[in-house]
Amino acid sequence: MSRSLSPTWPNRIFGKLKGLQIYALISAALSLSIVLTIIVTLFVQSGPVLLAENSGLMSTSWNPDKGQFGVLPMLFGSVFVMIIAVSVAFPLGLLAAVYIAETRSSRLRRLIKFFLEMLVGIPSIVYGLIGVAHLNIWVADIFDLQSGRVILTAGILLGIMILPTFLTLTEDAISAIPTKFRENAKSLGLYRHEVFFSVILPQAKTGIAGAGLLALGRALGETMAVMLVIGSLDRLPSPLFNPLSSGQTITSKLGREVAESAFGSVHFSALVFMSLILVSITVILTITSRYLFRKTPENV
Amino acid sequence: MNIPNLLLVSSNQSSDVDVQSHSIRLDGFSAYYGKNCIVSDINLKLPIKGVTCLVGPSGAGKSTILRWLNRINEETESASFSGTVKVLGRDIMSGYPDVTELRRRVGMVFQQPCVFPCSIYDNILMGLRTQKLSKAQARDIVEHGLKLASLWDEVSNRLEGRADSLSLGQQQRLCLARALVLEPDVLLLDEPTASIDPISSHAIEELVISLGRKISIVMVTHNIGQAKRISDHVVFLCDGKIVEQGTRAHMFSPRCSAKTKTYITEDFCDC
Amino acid sequence: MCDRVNIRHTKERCFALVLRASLLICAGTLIFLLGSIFVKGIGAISLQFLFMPAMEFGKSGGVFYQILGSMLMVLVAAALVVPLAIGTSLFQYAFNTRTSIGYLLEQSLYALNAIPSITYGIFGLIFFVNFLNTGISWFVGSMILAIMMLPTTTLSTYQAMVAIPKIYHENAAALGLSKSQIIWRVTLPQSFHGIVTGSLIGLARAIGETAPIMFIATAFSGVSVPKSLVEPVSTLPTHILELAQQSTDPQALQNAWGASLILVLLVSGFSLLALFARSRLTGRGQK
Repeated sequence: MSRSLSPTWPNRIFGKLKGLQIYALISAALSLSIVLTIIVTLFVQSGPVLLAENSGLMSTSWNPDKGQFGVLPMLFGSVFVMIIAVSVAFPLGLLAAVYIAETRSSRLRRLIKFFLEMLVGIPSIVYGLIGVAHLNIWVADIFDLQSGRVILTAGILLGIMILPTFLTLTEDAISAIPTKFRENAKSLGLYRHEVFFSVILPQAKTGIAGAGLLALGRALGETMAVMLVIGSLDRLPSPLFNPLSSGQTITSKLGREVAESAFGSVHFSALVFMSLILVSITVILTITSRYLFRKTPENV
Repeated sequence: MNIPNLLLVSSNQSSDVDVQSHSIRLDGFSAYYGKNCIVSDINLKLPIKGVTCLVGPSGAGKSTILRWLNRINEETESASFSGTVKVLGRDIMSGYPDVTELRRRVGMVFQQPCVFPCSIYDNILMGLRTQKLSKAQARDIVEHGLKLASLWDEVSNRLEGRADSLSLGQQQRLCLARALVLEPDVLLLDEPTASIDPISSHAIEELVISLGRKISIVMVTHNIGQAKRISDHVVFLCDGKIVEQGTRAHMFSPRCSAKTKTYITEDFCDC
Repeated sequence: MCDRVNIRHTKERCFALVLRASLLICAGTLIFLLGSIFVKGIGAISLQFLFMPAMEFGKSGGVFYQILGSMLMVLVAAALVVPLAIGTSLFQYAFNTRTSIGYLLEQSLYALNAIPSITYGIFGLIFFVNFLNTGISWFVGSMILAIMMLPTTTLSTYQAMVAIPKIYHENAAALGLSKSQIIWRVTLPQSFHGIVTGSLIGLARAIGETAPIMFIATAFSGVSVPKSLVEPVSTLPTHILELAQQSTDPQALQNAWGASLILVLLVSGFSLLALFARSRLTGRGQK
């Protein structure tokens, strides 16, 4: 986006254009200040819990009444749910993307892409509804649980949610590789899987990684769907990696408790602090993924 | 240039070639993109050895024919053909249930040089990477391939360097070497010298002439001079039909048809 | 040799099989998703459902005020964001001469895009509801949604500006037009499609958002048309949320499906309009 003024324009003619220029300047300043305000607000409001003594931020127990604000169960829950989501979405999405990108019917490809783009737009609350109405009952039946509101359900639901995003971006990355590479490789008598693994994948991998990181960011930041099906239990599961136990992610915690906590309290501040952790992770993921997208083969 | 013994083994591998008198045979061949007929009713027999040049104006269907000979056109949307095509005595559809076998025997080099974004060494071995080769064998093959394409002297000191850092002409010779190490019985060349420098062009022409003594080469070219220099056999196509075909001596002599003469002498055709 | 060929052939078969299977699984899942929304939703929708206010905590009655509330909030958000987006991209395109500021602005917009939606809700709660003491207000919700739409709209507008062929500017400058005249006569009309597309995509995303507005702008029952800027409204997403939490009640669940279908249709409507605007207006702009 860093592009300066077109050289055909005279550099400094003020006077008549002042109005426009001031308007543009104010807009840009406002846009920047919004971002700054959000960051500053989150930092300032995280202050109380960071300054509070014995808040036990890095512990595993969350108990606002006793002044314990351990964020580890939520952090663990977020990561655990994300891992399940990723192990559902990534292999499926990658393979399906290969199929779509390598099909020679452009009509089929356009149709699928259109559906995917529509699916990307489905609001997360609707996924949440599908989670409570179908998925959590199925999980409960299959694993013979009392309630299907467990980490596994949230993970699978989240996997389904990020699937269209990941699929469509991965497909873009793969079909961005020019046909000539495929034709040349196939002329050497390579099978399709050999063409894919030895010629296409090495070139598309940065784009695929970018798609993956973007999808990870989405998965971490997703609130509504997860909140409805995860069961909201502020403890680490036991045993630790038991996907059939209820849990809590950072986002589901925020969604459940922000409205209940008093503004300005240490409790509220602890919630804001969790949000700050979340923002830092997702922003880093997104900016890294943009960097990777930019490094696609054409630009090297 | 001396003929490498690498190529001599290729004829032992495929004994069925020897009993055939044609490397490529087209009977009633028509090719389509969607409903558009690109070439129609082509009958063509190419000898087991020698260089055949397909010449003719743009859009005559030369490349389309070439791209069907190793079925690479299958990968193109809505491309189809009718009639029979036999390569090395076997029908390309029913005779090669596994298309990779066909493509292994029929090498191809395209107009645009296209090296894979890895080292020169890996590029040469790309087609062979599925065979178990010892390090020494692999190195021999790479050296041999590069020498064949007269590229060895230029790149022998940087085999591990990236192939896309080579000049276009070098890249095209690399593509040729890559196809040759598979020891094909037929080699398809789609205007291989169209986008490269004269020196590389010359090297490729030399190579084509010497290879033509061992295997069958089909080459599309726009360059009449080039056809005159290297071909044994010339096929002149226009508007999807064969106008005339014959030996080089015939095609470039006063005995050829008027149309051919116009095209060859004025590089122009309004048929 | 023969064995190797066979192994390769088997691998190829497996590869093709796995690809096809994954595509089928993906397609199956996604078709199931869309299918269940449509099938269950159609059953719940009627004229009554569309035009009646919600009753008995949403278990009966319709979603009239929810549709109204959602539309009001996103349209006002769009009205807020469009001038800001145009100004920001104009600054970046025509007035900014410092690459460092351009870089900062760009990264900020991408960061804004990356912030999870729940964080916007928290920010709104802290900054507007408590710090500026507005209370629960639909207008605050609109402002937050406008902030969420800002990156998409700005980037789309800016990209449309960058895509204007340079020759247009050169010709306009050759005719002796001043810089502001060029902006009015060339830059803005030629990037109009970017503004429209960007705000429609933003709208499609904003109307489905629940997390940013559920603390700051909405109430579940007993609201109709707001009479001032600082009243809550009810929206489709928050309505679905409440109903989904009573999912054991089949009546509530059915109404949740109905509301979901309406929401999905609205989102798809905005997305389709965006697609349409992109193809239509781009074509016209270039003629």
